[in-house]
Amino acid sequence: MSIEIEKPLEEMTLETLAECCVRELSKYRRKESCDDRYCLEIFRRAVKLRNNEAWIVLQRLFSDNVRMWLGGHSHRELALRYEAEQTYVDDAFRRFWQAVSDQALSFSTIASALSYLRLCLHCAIMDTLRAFARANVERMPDYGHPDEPQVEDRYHENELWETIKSILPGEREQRVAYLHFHCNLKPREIIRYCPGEFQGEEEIYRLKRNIMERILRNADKIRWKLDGGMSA
Amino acid sequence: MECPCLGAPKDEELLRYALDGDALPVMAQKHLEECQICQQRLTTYTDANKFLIGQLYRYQCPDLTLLSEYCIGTLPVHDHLQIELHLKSCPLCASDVAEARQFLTPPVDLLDQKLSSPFADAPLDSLQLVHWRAPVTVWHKKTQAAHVNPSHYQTDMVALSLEARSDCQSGILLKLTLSLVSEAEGPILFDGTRVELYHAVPILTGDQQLNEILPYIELLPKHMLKPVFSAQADTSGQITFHSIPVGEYLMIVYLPETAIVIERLYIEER
Repeated sequence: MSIEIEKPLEEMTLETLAECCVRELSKYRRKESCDDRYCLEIFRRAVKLRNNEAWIVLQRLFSDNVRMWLGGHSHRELALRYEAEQTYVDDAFRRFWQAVSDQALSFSTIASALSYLRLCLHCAIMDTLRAFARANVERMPDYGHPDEPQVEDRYHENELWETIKSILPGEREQRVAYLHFHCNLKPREIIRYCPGEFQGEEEIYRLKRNIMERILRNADKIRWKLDGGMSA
Repeated sequence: MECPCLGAPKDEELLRYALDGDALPVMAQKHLEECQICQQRLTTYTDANKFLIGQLYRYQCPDLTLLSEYCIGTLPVHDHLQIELHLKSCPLCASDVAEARQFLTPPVDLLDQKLSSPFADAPLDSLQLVHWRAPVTVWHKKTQAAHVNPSHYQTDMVALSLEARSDCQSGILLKLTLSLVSEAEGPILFDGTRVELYHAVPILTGDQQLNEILPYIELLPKHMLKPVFSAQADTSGQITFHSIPVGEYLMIVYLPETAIVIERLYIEER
């Protein structure tokens, strides 16, 4: 049975809108032609009017979509090792809300709104993976030296990088230093990520050796905060 | 500090071990386990390496939200260019962008379904669109989304933004907008600025090979003799091409005293 629209959309109750929206989404899942005006009106109330109830309805309506997108994400398995599925779903909605609030984003179609929600999910996943990758780098074995520099002592990264560049003579050394220290790439990965930039892994190993020798010779310039052996 | 033992790992071997986790030769590994001098050498390398990676790892990388907004073209020009510059040096972010683009391209059936919605034909009931010009939203009934790459180009003085739309009536519509980056050098009138599109790749016939053409490129190959499309800017600096086939083009924008040349302009439908 179809529901006739007796009132303009903006006068319909949230419950009615939600019912219509569910009905249209069911049509969508059956691959029938559907009408997304109801969904868009809920979006409008949630985003533009900042109606909290509408926001809750939205989350309820589209959580399954977000879960489905997460299921199809190429990093799903890795992501779920770090956080639960619901965390990503919640984070996606939180980011969506943040974006529409901070940037005054609004959407002309439900498809564009869902696209943005999809983007938020992607950011939630990739930011988590990046954060854990960074944590792994910082937790590398033996790094927790008792004399490890405190936050206030930490060399400013940019200044550190400029110093390293200044003690490396050639562009290729600087490039390999960037790919090694900034990107933490092994020679084989460098060849894969940067095809054609280097002749082969041996060239990268050779450049890395030059880099480390120069860095150790100029340790005083980098003002090591590590043990005395480094700065000697 | 040098280790005088013959079985000691060489500097290069020790560096590979410390920096890249490569295995040491069996003899060298055994020696390392017993030699304090070599253990100290190894510590020097590993400490330096860990310190630097710990400090510098991805410190220049923009966060994922910015990268994703770069992908969908919602960033201000300055941020867009900054990220473009970063992507040239950082393969990790370049990979992130490629993944984001892949993920953000919605499945075709979703597009078709949304396009068949009556809402798509009733924009008056929609929210006002602000600050959202993602390629993924350029959807039209019974068509695929059109994309143009690059979507932005800039010289010291002039910025050119490019947008492609699929139009079920007339195919792909390519819209260009010229604007001034800075008016410090005085205003430029874009009215009448001519833009030409050429096939980027020579159309080879028979056994003709690209190598045969390259030595004569200065003689201007046949495909460059005449543009396949040309148009002029209106008073607001806008140029529109209709019914552009999918493909790879060379674009020339003839500005006063100079020209913008985009050698590889990709127009595609997904």
